[in-house]
Amino acid sequence: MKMWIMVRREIVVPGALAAVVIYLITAMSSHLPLLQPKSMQSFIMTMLYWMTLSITAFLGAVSSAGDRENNSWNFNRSLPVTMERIWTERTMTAFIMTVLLMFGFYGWDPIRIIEYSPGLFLTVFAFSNLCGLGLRTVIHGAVAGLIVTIVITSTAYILLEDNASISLILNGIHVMAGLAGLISSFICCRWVE
Amino acid sequence: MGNDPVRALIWKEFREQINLFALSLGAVTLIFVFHSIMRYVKPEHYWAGHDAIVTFIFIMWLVLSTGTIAGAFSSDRDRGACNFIAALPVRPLWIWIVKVSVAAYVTAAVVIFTLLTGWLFGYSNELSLLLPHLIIPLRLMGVMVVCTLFVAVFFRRAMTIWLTGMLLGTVLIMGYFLMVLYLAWEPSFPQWSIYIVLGCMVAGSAWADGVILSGGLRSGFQKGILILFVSGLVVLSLTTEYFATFYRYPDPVTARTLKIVDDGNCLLIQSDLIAPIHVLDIETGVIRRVSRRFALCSWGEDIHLSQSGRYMLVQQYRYLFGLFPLSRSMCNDLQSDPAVRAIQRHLHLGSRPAVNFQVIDLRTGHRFDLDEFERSEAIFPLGWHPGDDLLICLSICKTPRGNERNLCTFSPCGDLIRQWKSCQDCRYTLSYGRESIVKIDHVEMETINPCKFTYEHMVIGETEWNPVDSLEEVPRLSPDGLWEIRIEIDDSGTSHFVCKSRHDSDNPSFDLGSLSTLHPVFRWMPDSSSVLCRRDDESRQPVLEMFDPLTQSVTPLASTVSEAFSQVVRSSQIYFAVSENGKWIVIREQANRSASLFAFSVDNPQTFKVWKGAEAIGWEYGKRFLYRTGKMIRAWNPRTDADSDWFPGRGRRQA
Repeated sequence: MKMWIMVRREIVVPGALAAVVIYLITAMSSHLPLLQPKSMQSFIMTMLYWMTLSITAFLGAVSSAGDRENNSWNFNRSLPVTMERIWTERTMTAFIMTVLLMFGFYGWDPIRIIEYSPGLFLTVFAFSNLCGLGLRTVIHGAVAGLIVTIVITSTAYILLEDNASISLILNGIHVMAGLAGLISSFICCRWVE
Repeated sequence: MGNDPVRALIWKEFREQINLFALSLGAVTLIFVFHSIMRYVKPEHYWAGHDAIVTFIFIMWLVLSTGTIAGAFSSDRDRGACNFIAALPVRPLWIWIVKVSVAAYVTAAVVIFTLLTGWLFGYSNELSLLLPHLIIPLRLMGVMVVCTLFVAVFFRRAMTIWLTGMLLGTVLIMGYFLMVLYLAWEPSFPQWSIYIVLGCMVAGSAWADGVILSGGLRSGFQKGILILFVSGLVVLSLTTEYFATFYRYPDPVTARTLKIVDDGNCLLIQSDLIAPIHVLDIETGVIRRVSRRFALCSWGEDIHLSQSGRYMLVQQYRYLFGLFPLSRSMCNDLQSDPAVRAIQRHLHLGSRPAVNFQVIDLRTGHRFDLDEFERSEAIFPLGWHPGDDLLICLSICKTPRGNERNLCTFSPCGDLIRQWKSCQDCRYTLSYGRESIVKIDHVEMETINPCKFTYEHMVIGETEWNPVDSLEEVPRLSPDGLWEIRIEIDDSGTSHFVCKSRHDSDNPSFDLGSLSTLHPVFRWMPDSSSVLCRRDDESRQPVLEMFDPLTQSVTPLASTVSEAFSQVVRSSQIYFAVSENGKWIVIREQANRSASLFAFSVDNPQTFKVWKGAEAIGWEYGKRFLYRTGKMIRAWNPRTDADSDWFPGRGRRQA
């Protein structure tokens, strides 16, 4: 419930604004002969993709850095449960929301899933979560998570650019890196002050 | 107000940013180290990762700048430290200045570190090209930061600040981006509409300010932010050109236009239609920028290179601050001249074109602007003179007797070489219907096609002559200027293509076939020793033949090699690329979006090579043929019949 309240108060304003923006751009596209429909569609999808990715980064960071930023970390520690359990509950709640968000973005379109790597969401989520443990503020955690994800993606791209099935391999790398980030975060949560 | 609280505030802000700062420096170093290692271990992957690096820098700067700003404003509120900050003996304006300054310093430090690290790892050449590209992310970053600052005043939560700021920035940038793109492509777009849009935006901002101000602002720095926001809008409107030219690193493997120029020494690269033109020196691997943005290097069928391939004609769109199209200031008499209208229609220039023509020296980057004319005179380039590097232009002057049209030739440096004055005893005709301009003199006729940029000069006596469409395909003069192909009409009234010496009148002309031949294609060998011709034989089957004008012999080429090859020769859209020594010929077949290249030897046409799905680039200086397949540039060495990955800087050594 706490997560839901946080997400609701964080997402409602930018979400409404995003809906207006997408509507305006879509309406404008029919009056612009210079952009082909495919380009416009691609642009809108890229914008949506970045928004979804940003929200994912925040969900990951909020689940670990939110309490620390609100000074309720000590309250969590005083609870008669282990830190691992607190981490699991908070992170898994945020992860379920991320999965729902991903479903909203991908829909049932297999081409979209191929074009926009779903593994990237897991990586962003995991490293935002991990960086949220190390950096105190939510926004710094989210930004750090995004930067680490870009580094991983760029490194993999430089290494594999000439590979024919690069998108498939990149997805695999993202999933592996995301799992590694989540496990690291799980291990590190007990040592965080 | 003492200095200590301000100093304490600075250190507090910096301590909050230090972790993100350190992470960014580590990420930058890691990427450059990794790419350097990859370049050393796998040199054939020379181009791999340039996109990745630029994308990485672009996204990292953007994310970091908005993150530091949004973090500076949201963290204190989320942590409940606002009361503590308010209790400090510091004015709110100073708090705002400190927060923004620290975030700006952190971002600037990362930017400088990125550039320095790139330079240290040997990316100076790339960086010199990246810098103008990275100005765009910097400006984009500025817009995002202004929007984030604006939003940070009204919203309290980190994610709301972040996402709303990003969205506002995206709306502003995309709005201007689309508007300028529209103007770039549609110069006849009414200019006053842009002023209306701009006026509406400024009025909207002023109204928003008024509403907020009437409600009462809580502190002075919020007023500052609003003023900054409105100023940002004004600055943005003056720098829109940069957002419209969202061009990428001129990567040959993804470039839209890729051609070998300057006798195989350079590779011409243009990423997309509005990107600047770059030239890559094949031998050294150095890339130079030779044009401004909005330079259109190909219209019609091909790029317009001079005979030597060193000079190129481009259309350059002009904008004041990237926003207001600068129209040609021609007087009304010239505007209404049918010749001006015809040319403007051919080139899709609109009624008040914001375009001028430029001749670019691809070797030195020098540009000669054809637009330097008076209000009473207009000059339009019609094409390059075959055989030399002279540019043929049509000059239209306003005189008391009416408009006077003259043909003139310019050197690539802009010097007027020759002018043919029209006078009373000459018959002078402009033929718009056939998209050509014909000047008929007593004994001479010149036809110039402004659409396809071909030029013909022939002596016809007093005979009237009608332009022939198929003549447009004929290259008139041989590269050495000694021979020419022209049309002659025999006694039976049939027109023939004839090859004749321009200087030796005793040398009989050589018949290359009748005009009834469908789609004849002629190509002179680089040394002018022979003409490669694709025409129909007696049974009306297309054949490939070589004519030697000296011996007047005909050598059929590759007529019975294979069905696939014959099909290529029969193709209506045919492309030849002849090697420097004239020994090797590459033909392109374009069928249903899939192109195939055929290479064969002139001496032994039975052996040939096929690359499926490949795109021809041309013969490089090192006498290898370059082609692009997928995301790779490959080079074929005809002497060893070996294909290898190509990357610049080793052209001569490898050949």
